[in-house]
Amino acid sequence: MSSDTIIRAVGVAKRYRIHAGAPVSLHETLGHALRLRRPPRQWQEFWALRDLSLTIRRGEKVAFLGRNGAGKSTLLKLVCRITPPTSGYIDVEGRVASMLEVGTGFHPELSGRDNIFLNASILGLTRRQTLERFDRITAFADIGAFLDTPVKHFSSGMYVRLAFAVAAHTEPDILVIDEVLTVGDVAFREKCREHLTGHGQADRTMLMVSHELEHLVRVATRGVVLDQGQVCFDGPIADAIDHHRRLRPAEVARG
Amino acid sequence: MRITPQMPGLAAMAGELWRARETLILLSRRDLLVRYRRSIIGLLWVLFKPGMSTLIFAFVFGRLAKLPDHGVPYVVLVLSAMIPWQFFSGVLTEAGSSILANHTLITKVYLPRLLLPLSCIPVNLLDLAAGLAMLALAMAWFGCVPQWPVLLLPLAVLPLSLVALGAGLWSAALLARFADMKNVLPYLLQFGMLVSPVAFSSSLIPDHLRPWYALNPMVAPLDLFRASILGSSYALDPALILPSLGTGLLLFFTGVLAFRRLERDFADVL
Repeated sequence: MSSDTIIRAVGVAKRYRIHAGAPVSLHETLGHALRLRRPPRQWQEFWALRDLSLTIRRGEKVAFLGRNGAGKSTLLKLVCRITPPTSGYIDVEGRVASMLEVGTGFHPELSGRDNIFLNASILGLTRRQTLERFDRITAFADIGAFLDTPVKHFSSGMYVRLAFAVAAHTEPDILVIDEVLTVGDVAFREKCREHLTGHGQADRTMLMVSHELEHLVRVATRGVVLDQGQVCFDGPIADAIDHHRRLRPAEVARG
Repeated sequence: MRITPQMPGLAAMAGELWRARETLILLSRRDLLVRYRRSIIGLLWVLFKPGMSTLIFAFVFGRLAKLPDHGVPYVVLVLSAMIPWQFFSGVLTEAGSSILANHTLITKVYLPRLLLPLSCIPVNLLDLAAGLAMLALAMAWFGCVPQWPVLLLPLAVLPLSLVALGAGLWSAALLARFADMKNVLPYLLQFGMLVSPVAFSSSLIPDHLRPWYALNPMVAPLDLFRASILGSSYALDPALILPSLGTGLLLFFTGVLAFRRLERDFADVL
């Protein structure tokens, strides 16, 4: 990989098997195994990604566009290692943090403080790194006196503010965001956007999926449009959005 | 780092676990806090189940059936194996459900999935310690004095943990894949307790059954617990212990391999 390439996907494909009819049970599996028969094919194959190749340079802010089922979220999950590719490979340099959901691993019975440490650790920070960021996280979340209260007593606004604050301060090399920027009230959303586009973010590579095109225009620099698991457009974000609109005008109007 | 369709090597998995050790501590701590935060008498509930089972077994097998008791009160004989059995049962059940219980940690973020079943060990070790304290009280009540082998008790925890984790990894991998395992597990546990030296002494097993009995991976950990607690009155039979330790290790290693194979699909099947 050249020095400023941070992600390189080569010939990546991902197949899902969608089970038709009854779910596969232990009984059925054992039954087929005992009778030494191959089970009948009860699933439909669905290729979420097909032979996708893509190179992303350090610091790029890439938005993935395309209609539902085009493979956007699958691609992000592969980069995060949540699910393996069926074929092909992806080279990734540096630490990836995923924001596919805010508050992953938050436990309602634990205090805000305990949840910060647990969540940050799950997102890849060491204890020392979390301590360094602790004051910034609590200031950003603005939860004040509730730091040692179990988060089940938090208002939903406080909960998402805290969860976003932890994720936003993990400062990974690659930040993967799927639809989470629709959290909180309008003012907090604005604060999140400022944080993501603010200074100190120039070197951070971001991969994002969102149906809020207006948001993508402000944060992303590059747009990749996927269709049926393949790249059908790759270029500046404004042109990508135009392409996306031409692809499915009806759906965009509805969304 | 390269993301490929292949399974990671065992060395790579071990390295990844080591780097994630802080997360393991925090996950274990979460389970500890959650178990004991909401009920003040949480620990007493943990002791209630093995305590009641022990009293029933002691009555049926000691008082009614008059099985050999090695010269100790039958309650103490049963409890010395019931407490480690409870640990095994707890780890198996909790490790088994850990993948389903933490499904957002599987589908929304990447972390070494082995952390989830592993994090069930510390909270059950605490329960084990509480159970042993209850056993010590029972022994004091009956005037039983432990002998020097009790100092070796910590050594028995290692094979016990390996067998429990091995079984837990198997059940975690299978439960995520096959929903009906959930219904099978309680019966397997009940059956397992009846074919293991919990309610009776291993000395009861007739000679022609001993080679088969020795294949039960729980025979070694339970008899090691008993022998260290009861001292010289409970003799260990190497012809039982060594094969049982072997199947225990086999269960552990196959459990790791099965988990590694099935974890790749966790995010897709949950």
